[in-house]
Amino acid sequence: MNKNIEADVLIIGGGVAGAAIARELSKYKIDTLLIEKSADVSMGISKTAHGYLYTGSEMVYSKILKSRGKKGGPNFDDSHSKSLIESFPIAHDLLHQLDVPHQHAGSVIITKTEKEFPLLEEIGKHAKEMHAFDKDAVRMIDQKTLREIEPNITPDAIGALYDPECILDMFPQEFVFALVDNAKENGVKMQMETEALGFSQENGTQVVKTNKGYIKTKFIINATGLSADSVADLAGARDDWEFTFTRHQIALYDKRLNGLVKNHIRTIPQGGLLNLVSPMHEGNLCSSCGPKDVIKDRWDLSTSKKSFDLMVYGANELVPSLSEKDIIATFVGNTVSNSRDAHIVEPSKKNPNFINVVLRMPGFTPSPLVAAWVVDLLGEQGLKLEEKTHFNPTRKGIPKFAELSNEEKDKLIEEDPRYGHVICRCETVTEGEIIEAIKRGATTVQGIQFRTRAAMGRCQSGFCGPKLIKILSDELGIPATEVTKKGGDSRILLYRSKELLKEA
Amino acid sequence: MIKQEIDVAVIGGGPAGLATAIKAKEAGVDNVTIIERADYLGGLLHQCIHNGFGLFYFNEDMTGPQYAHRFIEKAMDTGVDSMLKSMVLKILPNRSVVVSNREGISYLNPKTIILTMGCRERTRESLRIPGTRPAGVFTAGTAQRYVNLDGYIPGKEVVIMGSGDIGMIMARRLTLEGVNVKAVVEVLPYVGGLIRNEVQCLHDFDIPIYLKHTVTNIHGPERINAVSIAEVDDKWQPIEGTEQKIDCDTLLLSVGLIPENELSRDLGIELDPITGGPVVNSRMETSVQGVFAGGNVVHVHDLVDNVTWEAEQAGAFAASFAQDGPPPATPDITLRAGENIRYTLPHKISREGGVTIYARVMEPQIKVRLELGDIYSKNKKIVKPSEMIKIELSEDDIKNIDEKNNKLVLDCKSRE
Repeated sequence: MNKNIEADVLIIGGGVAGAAIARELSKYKIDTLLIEKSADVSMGISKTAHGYLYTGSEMVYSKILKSRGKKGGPNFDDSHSKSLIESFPIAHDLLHQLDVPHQHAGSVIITKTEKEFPLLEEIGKHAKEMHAFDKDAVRMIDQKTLREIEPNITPDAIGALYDPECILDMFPQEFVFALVDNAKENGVKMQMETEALGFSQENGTQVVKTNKGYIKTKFIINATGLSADSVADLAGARDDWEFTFTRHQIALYDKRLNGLVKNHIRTIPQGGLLNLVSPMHEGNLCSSCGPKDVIKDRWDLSTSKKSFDLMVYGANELVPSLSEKDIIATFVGNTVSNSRDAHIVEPSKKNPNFINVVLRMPGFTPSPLVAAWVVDLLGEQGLKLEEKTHFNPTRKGIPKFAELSNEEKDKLIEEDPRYGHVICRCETVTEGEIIEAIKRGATTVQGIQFRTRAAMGRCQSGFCGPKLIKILSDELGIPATEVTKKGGDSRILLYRSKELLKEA
Repeated sequence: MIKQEIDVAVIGGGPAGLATAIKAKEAGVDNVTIIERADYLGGLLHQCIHNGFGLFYFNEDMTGPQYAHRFIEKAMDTGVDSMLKSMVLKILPNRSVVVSNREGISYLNPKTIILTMGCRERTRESLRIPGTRPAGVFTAGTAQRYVNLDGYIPGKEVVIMGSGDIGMIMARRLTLEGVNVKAVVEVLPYVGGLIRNEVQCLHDFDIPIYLKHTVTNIHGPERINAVSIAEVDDKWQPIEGTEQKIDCDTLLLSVGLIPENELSRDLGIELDPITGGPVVNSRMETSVQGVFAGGNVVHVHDLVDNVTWEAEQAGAFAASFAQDGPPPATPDITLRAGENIRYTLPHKISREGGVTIYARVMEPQIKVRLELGDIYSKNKKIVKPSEMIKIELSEDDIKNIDEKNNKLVLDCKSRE
């Protein structure tokens, strides 16, 4: 725990924005520190984002979706759209450089009424203009063709807009972990469980008070997602932008259903109701359905029976054979919309060395481009940008034992026998992978879970939970009663045996 | 990579795996190997430190570990082999078993496979209980492991959802550790587990039980701090206005066990959607020839004694298969569930030899007569879904079934 640290640039926030900026800054001879208030990176919006990379009709669809009800409808010429188009190939490239597993997927936007055909055609037209892959493949398809491509889709669908390759499916947190791993390898320092509590100035340096001491820095990047407005306020650095918050609920289905749909299936959002069923990169089907209402409490992540039922109903409207019995997990994500309806990437008018970074959804695709903008801004504000000679642009992910061939598995075990010891049997995750996750920064059960898939299977850590706690306790040198699920107050085991009897 | 030819591969070394392996070895099979992912044999018995095991098999009242050790010792004495800390990754179509452990990947080529993988617990997520997803929510079996094997107490103000045996056992166990067990919440109008446990775990310790109630919400941002419960109607739907909040720091779930048949699916084995386990005949053979199964992987038992007997059946017939190949095919009799019967096992009965039939009723009933075709009839005062019915049919009983009759139905009829 450092009492006083100094840095050239302090990034506050370890979501996709902060991570992308950290990685970008790590190319230069700059002392960069990233602080994050949670116990791990990617615990805010990035944790529950769909986190795909979009192009083509998916890009268009998300713009229409997020501009619902706006006067004049979505603007495909604005800076946000341009950022998506420009950033897509950069982000795609990063997936390869940083070893982020991903797969190319298509989108099928179905309709049950001919009245929606013109709207679908409109989407198709814009999709061709904004496509990084084969724009000529984007087309309207009839019921017969739809049935051939997606046999399990609802028989009520009479047609669809089909874009065979417009999505790069990935596990969003893996993208953040990859950026973070690479940034750290290239010299960026990161400190978790560190929250910015106050801001002041001292001889031209900015001083940030945190729960773990003071940080002196020249520049501050506010990349705090859901908290960006309040952090900016704390620093007296908010300009004319406001937040509203919306919520979406996601359900994950048993792996048995893999292959039930091949593309991302959706409908035109109607009356606030949004439905999506899609295969995720790991294979699990997921559905995200229900209203994306404006919510009051951005920190309320509870699900309700009503939202469950809406989600099950919505998923069935798309794929009738999806049974709620096959849902193995559900969770909620809160996201932010801002009053400018655009990325906010600018030095505060009140403090030019305090740069606010607010991504407008979808945030994953434009994140590397926005990171480059931030570096340019820092340069304009006087930060010396000298490139490192030994910047390593590539990163290797944690080996995925479950996906290796038997020969590859055997070889890996020979190098490190811990890769032969399976800990999570639902997802076939080994001790080797778990130890590696801890080496890369996991300090909680969720930290291991999101880096390795352990505890994400059908028994939801029923069997591996005790083993994960033991490994964390051993590797981090902390008592098992200090191990948490997701940091903060989320300790898992509260007492040792007989401790409660002593109290009596 | 190691390749090994063996006679019988037993997947899972809990009570079923032990019993089945010992039986196969006793029948004279050369190489019987148990593949077990923990670093000890005995499975979940080690965490069941309460008594009540072996009452029928040994005529003794033992704890889980004691019961396990009888079989572990016998397994060693009879020469059963075992691969510990070893996980079966996959069973290939040619019946080769792919195993991973710290030595590397092994391919075992057995003549026969016996599946004894047991079951897993139903989770909060699959019940879709609304609310937040804080720490402090455990399935009862996992909590039992923490308390009895690892030496930790999950929390001190506990609510238990579900009055299955594991839930009731943990209610008592935690009370003995100084925990305040504030409520057991059960959705049915009656207790889910054995009557013995209802008395010895709940009544004896004055633990309040809320029948016809369910947990409707989980509260707490990072660690659970309360649950909401409500009364339910006949369709298990919460009744408006009956909600109440119970402060707690831990929620235990004892809401069902699910036979773990992932590997069975690898082999394309036919599964019964009601039991969750393989369709089996009276040799405990699955729909894939030479692959047998026994214990909780076939259907969830309440008494480990029955697990042992059932697994011994599987072991005996698996041994015959390994030594002599498949027996001559005979037209089997299909066993069906009739009135108020949820399921019957085995699904097919051979006309040769006797058979032990297991069944469960759908609803509790008093003053009943169990009727199996016209070859068996027995009066019972009370039947409950949580107490398995066991019917022993002798060779003669089966011979009394008409040759032209290839179906047998078990009914549970009211005597009133």
